[in-house]
Amino acid sequence: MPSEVITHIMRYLSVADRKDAALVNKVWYDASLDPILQRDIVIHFYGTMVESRFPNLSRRKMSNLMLDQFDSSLESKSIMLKSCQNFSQSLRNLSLKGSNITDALFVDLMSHCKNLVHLDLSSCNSLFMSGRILELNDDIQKLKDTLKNVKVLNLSSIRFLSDATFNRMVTVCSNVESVHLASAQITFISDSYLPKGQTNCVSNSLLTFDNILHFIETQQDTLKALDFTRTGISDDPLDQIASIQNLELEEIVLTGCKDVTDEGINSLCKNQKHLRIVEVKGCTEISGAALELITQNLMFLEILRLGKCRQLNDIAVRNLHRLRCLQVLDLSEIYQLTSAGLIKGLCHNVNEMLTHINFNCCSNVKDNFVVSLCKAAPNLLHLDLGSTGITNISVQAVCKYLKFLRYFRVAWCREITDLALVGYKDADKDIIEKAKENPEDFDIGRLRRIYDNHIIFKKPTGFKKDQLSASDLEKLAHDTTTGYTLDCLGHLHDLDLSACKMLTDGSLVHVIKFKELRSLSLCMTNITDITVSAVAAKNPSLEHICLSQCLSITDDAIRDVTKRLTRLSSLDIAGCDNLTDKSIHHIQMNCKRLKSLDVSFCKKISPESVGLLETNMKTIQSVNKRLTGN
Amino acid sequence: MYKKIVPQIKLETYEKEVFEIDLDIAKKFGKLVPVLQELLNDDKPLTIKTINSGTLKKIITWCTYHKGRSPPPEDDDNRMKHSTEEVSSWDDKFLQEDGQAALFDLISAAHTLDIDGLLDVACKVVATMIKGKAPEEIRKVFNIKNDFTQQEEDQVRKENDWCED
Repeated sequence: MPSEVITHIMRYLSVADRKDAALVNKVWYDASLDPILQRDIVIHFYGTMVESRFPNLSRRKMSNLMLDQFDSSLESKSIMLKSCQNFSQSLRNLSLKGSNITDALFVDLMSHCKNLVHLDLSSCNSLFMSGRILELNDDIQKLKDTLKNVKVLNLSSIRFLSDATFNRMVTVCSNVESVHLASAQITFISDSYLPKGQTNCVSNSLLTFDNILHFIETQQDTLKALDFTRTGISDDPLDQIASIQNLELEEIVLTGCKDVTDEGINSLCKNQKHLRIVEVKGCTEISGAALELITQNLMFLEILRLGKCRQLNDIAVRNLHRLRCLQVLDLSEIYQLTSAGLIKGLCHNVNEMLTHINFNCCSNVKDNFVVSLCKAAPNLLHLDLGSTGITNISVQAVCKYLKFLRYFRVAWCREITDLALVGYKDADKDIIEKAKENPEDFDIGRLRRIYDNHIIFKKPTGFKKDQLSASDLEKLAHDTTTGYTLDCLGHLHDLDLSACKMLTDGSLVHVIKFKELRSLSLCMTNITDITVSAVAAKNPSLEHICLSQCLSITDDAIRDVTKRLTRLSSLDIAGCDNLTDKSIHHIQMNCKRLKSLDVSFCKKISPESVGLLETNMKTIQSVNKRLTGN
Repeated sequence: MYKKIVPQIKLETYEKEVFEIDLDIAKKFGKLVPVLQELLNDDKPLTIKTINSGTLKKIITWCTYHKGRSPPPEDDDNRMKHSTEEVSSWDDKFLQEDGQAALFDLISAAHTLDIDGLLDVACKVVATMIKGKAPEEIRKVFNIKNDFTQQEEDQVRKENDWCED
């Protein structure tokens, strides 16, 4: 087969699959170097690596490079310079996150990256500490040319960012469209800092909002996205930004901005109707009125994150269906939401756009809503139902309707039993009944509880049947006529069944078999070695596995995991009391790609053996060995 | 009865068998589009030595089946995202029914003739076979010889170690 055809095939493979395919032979390797296949690969160098381990990547035309937490040593400098020189022309995204670089090195690095689109300098404190970055006019002129293609500039978490340095950065990135200032220390009331008689001034020590506003005004025709995550921004500044005449924002991120209230959102909704992304997660002051405005005005909204906006209730979400373009919706940790409101808001009509939904910790979300949602949003890829009140019926509905699902999380849903995973005879009937159930009646019963002084424990609704024997479960798992088994979700990449206490080997042995599964959590379940071995045998793509607090598993399980799962990069076995140093031995012998390991609270594992593993395993980046050997 | 005359072109395969192909279908062969008019006027068939009769028959069947159905246009981003999800069961069965060798012949023919839809869907089927497999398993499935030296293989592994997504 010609190399181009192999390249074409590789386009349909994940990065992990491509890495293995590149090892087949030389033709396949060459095919894997095609620039089109490098676009979604990030080369991630850690500051802790030594130069001898620095691979020769000069043949690759990489577009993404991350130089993570490099220190100021000469060796680090040379690695950074070399890598920038290597990829120079092809480099599109460069992250220097948390690296300790000087302004001279910065100018040097940048001069090699002529086609940069995305520049991430977050947490580069040392670069801005002296305040002398780009002080020389020559440097500015030089970088102005090389960085003219930069569209995204990330200046998050830089303690020392001032008006002066900020202005110089945006001068060299003159065509920037997206500016990230998460966790920036912005001064909103700058009058008292101004020299007498002056109304505005560029400070050398502070980052003032007036200065940022001035920048936004001058760039109003090009700016598309602003990120003020975890800053003190409040309604007035937001209003000042939103009402700039020619500004047409597509993205605003205000995660954790506790001073933003409905008024600020009002101003955004009235003036910035082209917004496609609104993230207000953790803006606790926002109420239903703001959401009403959003659903009325922002017709192009694709991503809406409202997690932790605790004032939102059923009435607030009832009009979400107006957002016809919505793809991603985060309603996690909004405790008041119930099935009734959500059915009105999201199951009004079939929405084929919706792909990501997060209801983590919405404990009043019940089966009747999930069943309706599965029918109304058939293209869901990502569904988080952690800590909700769902039962087997919801899981069956998901298995039946959501064929494309990639991410499925039902952690802490304690009513889920083995039957949910292997399917049961009456599933269809139950699903239909649940969907028909009149949600209003159901939920009034729940609300009444609040006004009552007594704590009433409601009898668990949902599906109950006597515990089935292992052989019955096996029969169900292989009998396709009875119901929908979990492995109907053939495209699953990520599965989280943490703390589903009722799940046992009986079902798990049979249904966790996914070709593309990359991440699996079975922590705090009652599984034994049988399930772990079956998982290791049937899920070849697993990279991340969490088995913490699975008290029954033994060293044999770890042997199977480490031997079979060649792509394993992170393993969490914290608090597994039966594991001994033998497990550490298996890990050390078999895991060639392991990057992170958690063995904390493992009583029978000695700190010495873990220490030995750390020195012997070159790939390992992080080990948690707290309280081992106690 | 009046018979409608369908314009046809002639192709000769490796086995020297001559096929008459309807113009509608021939239009799907990207490589032939610039010379179609010439071929229509020409009575002599165009010889394509790299394609055998069985493969060409399959290609014609595939194109006929998909004549009315135009697949959604794929841009490069789309291609990366959607991976192998939307291979229809008809395609899956059709492409795999004659075994691997036939599938590979079909892929190289689709590549030679530049039949976009067919190449895409056939590559998806092959990609599905590769998913989750270790290099050794891939070699076994496709009967490929490893021509890396140990040193070279280690070098590739070392490069891979730093690639993330």
